[in-house]
Amino acid sequence: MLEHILRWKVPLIILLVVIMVGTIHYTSTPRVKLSMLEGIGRDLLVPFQWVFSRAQRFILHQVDKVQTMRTLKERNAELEELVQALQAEVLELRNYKRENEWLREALDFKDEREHDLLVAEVIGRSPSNWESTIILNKGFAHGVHEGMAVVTSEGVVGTVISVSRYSSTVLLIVDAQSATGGLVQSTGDLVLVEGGQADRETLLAKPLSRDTVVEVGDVIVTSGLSTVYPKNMPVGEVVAVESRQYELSFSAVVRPFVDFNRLEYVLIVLPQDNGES
Amino acid sequence: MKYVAYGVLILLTLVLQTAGVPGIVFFGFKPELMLMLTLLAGMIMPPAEAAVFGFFAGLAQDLIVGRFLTLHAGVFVLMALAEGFVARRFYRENILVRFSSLLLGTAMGEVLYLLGAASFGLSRPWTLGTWTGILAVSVVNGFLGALVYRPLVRLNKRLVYYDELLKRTG
Repeated sequence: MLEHILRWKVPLIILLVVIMVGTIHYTSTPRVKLSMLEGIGRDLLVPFQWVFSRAQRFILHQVDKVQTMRTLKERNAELEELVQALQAEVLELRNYKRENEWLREALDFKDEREHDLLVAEVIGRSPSNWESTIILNKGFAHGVHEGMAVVTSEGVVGTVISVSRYSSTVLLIVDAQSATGGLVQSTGDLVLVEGGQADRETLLAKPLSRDTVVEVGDVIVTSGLSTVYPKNMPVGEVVAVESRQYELSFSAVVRPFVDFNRLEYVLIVLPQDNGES
Repeated sequence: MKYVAYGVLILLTLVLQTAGVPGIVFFGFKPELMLMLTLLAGMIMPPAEAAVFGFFAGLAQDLIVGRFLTLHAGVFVLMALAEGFVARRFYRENILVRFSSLLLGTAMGEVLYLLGAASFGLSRPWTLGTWTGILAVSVVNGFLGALVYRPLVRLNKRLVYYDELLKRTG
């Protein structure tokens, strides 16, 4: 019996390798839907990931609390001052808003809000150092689909790349596979914002035209030319401008506004028809 | 029973890894716990068993968070076999031998994964940053793995004992 199995060992290994290469090839191309096994696996792990991420967050918050306890009094006084200043600003902005609404009405402008937002919790991160992805606790049961944009109030986070029933995986903009259309806020020049930097914390903005002007301190926002991200979402700030070797062009190093290491909750941008906000 | 315990160990490691392994970051890189577990399995278990363990550990990672189904599985099988091959020839009870073989194993595993991913379209420039990353992950895995080795050997011995006991008593 054993000899019989051993005789088939080599062909079996070859068959297994062929199947594995085929599977890798099949899954390397963009897929609309995950396989059943992947979907079940990801959904099964959601509660455990949720519990672990909550426990981890609780511990980190406690450590943070102890650390900030000393500076609490000073900070409180600073914040009270800030609240007063902000209240004054809010009052001023309310006046502007009312004035703006009145002017819009007068000019017969349409409401520009085209998207609903769905709040999702970050319950996991890519275990690999070579992929920058996060796992959210919302899936297609909540109306999430592949290709949707993910943002926070600070700026762009990434794009949904795979969805199971109760979870979804987001490709962060700092990943090597990510490329986003952006524009320099001060000049309106178009740039291509790419991830894949060695430090995995910054982005690279490449100009789309030779006349593009980018300076340190410039803010890069989404161009809105693609259907993924809403227009004018903040991406990051230019921290360095480097000229490219053998080229007359340059590229700018952009530090994203979003701190990807501290992400807890994000907003998934839904088309308005999907309803859930 | 032994195999159920191995399955639970794989899932726990995966959950811990995806939760971000709080606090353990070296030069901005976190340890690759699943690869470390597979390499340790290669040291502790017989080759065929370690290869099967590596396959399922890699498959679990591919199914739940991977981008290429079975790429990690393939890499982990090779690394479990290679680690077993090295461990049988050297004195693995020595912490320095364990550290160096885990360091080399992790580095090889990472290079194999990146080469595999590149051949299927997910290329990454082989810059100094990439090599620094590979070195950083390997050092973290080497340290952690060398420390976890003894408790894992004890756990495996106990599992093998209870498994045998269960078989004999029916």
